[in-house]
Amino acid sequence: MHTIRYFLGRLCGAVPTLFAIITITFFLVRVAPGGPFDQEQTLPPEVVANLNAAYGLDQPVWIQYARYLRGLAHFDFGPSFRYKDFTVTELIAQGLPVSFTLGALAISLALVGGVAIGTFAALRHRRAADHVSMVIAAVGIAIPSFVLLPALGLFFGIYLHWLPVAGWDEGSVADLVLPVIALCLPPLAYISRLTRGSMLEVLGSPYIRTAMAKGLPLGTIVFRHALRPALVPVASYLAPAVAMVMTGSLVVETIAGLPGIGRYLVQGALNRDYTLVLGMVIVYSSLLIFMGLVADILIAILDPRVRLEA
Amino acid sequence: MHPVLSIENLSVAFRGADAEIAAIRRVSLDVAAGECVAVVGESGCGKTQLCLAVMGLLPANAAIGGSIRFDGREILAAPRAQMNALRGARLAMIFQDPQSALTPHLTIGTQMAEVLVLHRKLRWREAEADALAMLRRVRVPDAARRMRQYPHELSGGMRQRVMIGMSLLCEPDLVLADEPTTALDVTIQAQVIAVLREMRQEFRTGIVLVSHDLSVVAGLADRVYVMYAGCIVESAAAADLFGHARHPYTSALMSCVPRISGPVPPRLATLPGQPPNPAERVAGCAFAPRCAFTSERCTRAPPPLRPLEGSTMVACHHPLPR
Amino acid sequence: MSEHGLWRTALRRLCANPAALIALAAILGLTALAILGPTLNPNRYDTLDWANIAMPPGLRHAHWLGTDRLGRDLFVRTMQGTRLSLAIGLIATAVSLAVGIAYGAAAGYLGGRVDHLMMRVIEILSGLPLIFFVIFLTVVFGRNIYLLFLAIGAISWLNMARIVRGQAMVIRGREFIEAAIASGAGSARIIFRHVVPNVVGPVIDYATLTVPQIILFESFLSFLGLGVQEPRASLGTLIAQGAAEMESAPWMLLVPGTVLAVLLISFNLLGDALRDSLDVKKS
Repeated sequence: MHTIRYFLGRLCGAVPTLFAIITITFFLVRVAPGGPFDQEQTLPPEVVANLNAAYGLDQPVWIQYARYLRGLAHFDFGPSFRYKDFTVTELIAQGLPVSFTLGALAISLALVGGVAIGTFAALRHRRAADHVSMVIAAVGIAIPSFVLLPALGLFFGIYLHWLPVAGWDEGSVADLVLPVIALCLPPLAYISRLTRGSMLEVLGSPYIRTAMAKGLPLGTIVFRHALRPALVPVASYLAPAVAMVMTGSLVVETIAGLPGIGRYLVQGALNRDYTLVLGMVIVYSSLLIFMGLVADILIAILDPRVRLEA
Repeated sequence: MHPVLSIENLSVAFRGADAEIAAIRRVSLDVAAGECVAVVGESGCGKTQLCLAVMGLLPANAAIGGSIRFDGREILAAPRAQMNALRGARLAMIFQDPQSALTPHLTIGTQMAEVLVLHRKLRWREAEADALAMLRRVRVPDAARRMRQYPHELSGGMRQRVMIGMSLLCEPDLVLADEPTTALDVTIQAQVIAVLREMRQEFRTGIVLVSHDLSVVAGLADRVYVMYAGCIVESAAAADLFGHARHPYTSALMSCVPRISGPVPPRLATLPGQPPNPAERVAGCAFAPRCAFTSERCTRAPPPLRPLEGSTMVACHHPLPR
Repeated sequence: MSEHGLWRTALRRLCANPAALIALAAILGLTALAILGPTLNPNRYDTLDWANIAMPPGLRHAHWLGTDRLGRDLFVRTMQGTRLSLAIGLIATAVSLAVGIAYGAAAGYLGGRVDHLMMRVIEILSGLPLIFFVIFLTVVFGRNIYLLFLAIGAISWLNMARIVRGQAMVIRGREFIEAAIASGAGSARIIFRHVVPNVVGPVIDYATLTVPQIILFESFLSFLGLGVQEPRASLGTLIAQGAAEMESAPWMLLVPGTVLAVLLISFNLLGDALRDSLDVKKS
């Protein structure tokens, strides 16, 4: 009950933040020189003027702003200026399932793999397995996904012919394997280092010694007594990890030819597709804010000493 | 009847980066079934390491020599599975500072019941019922509610009682109590000692009571071992030791304890100086630099632990007269 | 332990760490190559050699690491890109250091309500998806590399400020600061003369880890086409071109990709080693 109230309180608290982000973005993209129809140089000025009028771009900025906000209140992100005949809502609705699947798989894999490797390394502290996994983690953090994905494609796709290099065949699992690996590796490496550090600290704590003095087997000690406190730093890292995966997906989707929403942000900004950019910023910011909230609740679940206070 | 715990010539040293630090030097100690043996000394004299050695919980960089027999069987360097069958079941430890020695994210009920689930093969529900009964026996107020609470929701005295109750769940043959009252204020201390005394009578549990606090020891112990710089310097029946300390160190320790009855001393006696650095080897008696009776012989040859009258043993060239 | 002994211990530990030494050697070697490399090779980064288009690497011709689709020398272009990446990494780190240290030291030293307010600002800023703002900034203000430096430096000072603030709060309580106050030194003077020098250790460590992050970020933006523009190259643009050609000319991906990976790994390993060797708890 307390948790639900806290959750709702935080959600309400996120509204002004999101509003501020929308406002800043709205005016920022309009400050940029050029408009959405500039690049079509063949268009006669009257046509551009008509287009501007049709999309309400001839109005003063603050009227455009008010109109946009009114639309948002009805979950209407407006029409795309460049993808004619599509609304932003439609574009995002088409791409989001692909991007969401990709991102969710990458985050889950990063969490499970990172915690497993970090725990393993901590249990083998200062032995070969520990050193090897931490060197691999250092390498994993350093290799960006836009280097890793082409390299993986080169090896598994072009030389071994095991997996498709790029493309999207309507939900084929094989198409997702390499992008997910490339996307999850940096956060996985980071999480494994976080977990190793916190696990080592927890394993050295007096209550683990008490658990050992009770005769508990190692598995019970690790899973029942050590894992939960060791996961607190991982939970705090959840929102940054999601941001990392989101950022990575901007390039990974392009390289792998996946029809997600990643490409819309950069293309939208380059094309001055105001509504598309705003829609993307709203989607990404909401997700980040939401993950921050999830992380705080997770921490409170992991550590009963933490009190959730709005 | 053979002793429940028999330690012979136990030595523990820690390999550091630069030097080897000797924590315990050739310590021998026996505990009979149902007996309460106290180990006293200043902090850093090796008391806690002694307990951890018995439990098999010394860190990996500890070099251990000698012999520890529990119920007649050698347990030093016993495989982990064998130790796990003993630990928590027949051999239990009460840690100092129950604030940090209880797992923060598990309820008291879970932490207690898991011992019974593991060693007695009970179902969780039965184990929780037994744990609740134990909490009542160690006189934790409002025990049913405590079972569902987390350690940070309990007071220090309650946590220590939980710790004691947890160690007694399987009615062990031996309990190692490491400074069980240090973190508590005086009134709670007295209650905890009372609980320990009752439990001892009820379960016939052997107790190794480790403390720097002689008033705690006096209320509980049958026999006392006095440790200084990793060695035992005196061992005697509690009554003898408190009546007539034979080692100058024991005597000095006792004069540091303020007495409630009797005349008020002009100022509280303190023991001057510091114990020797455990990384250095001392040629003679380790206590010589702080001792009032030091002779030339004391700085040259270490005194062996030798029997005096009765069961008293002392490691001193110039033991105090009776 | 004295301050002096602390540094000596840290240096000794660092020298005893083979991974750190290899990383340091790799960084110095790549830096030297990036500065000197282009002069060792007869080709220029923008010379089009139509006779040798998409040549694989080899030592028998003048294009040691091959050429790209336009016949431009890949070795020279990669080294030029490395130079750019290193310069961006160092400059943006310097910006983030300057802003972060000033902000963090001020917040930590002044304390109280000022500190509270300053930390709220950081909290809000770090809650925003700042990478999107950098993308906008580059779009809005044109593809100007110098603005890119500023933008990247401007988003990476937040953590630095947090670290410095934490250290400054610890140091504030120490005697020598009280002595400085007693002798009538002003706040700004105390911050720069006494607080800043004492946070050097963690700051060096963090800066070492910031450089690769910024190099990575620059490559990322260049990969998206938002950073460095043709004919100049950065590791990011080279990798983007290489990824497009990898089926027919894999070296175009592997050469800049390997250099970037080695650079980033080396900086990360060095940063980790510095953190370990400066860790007081371990001694």
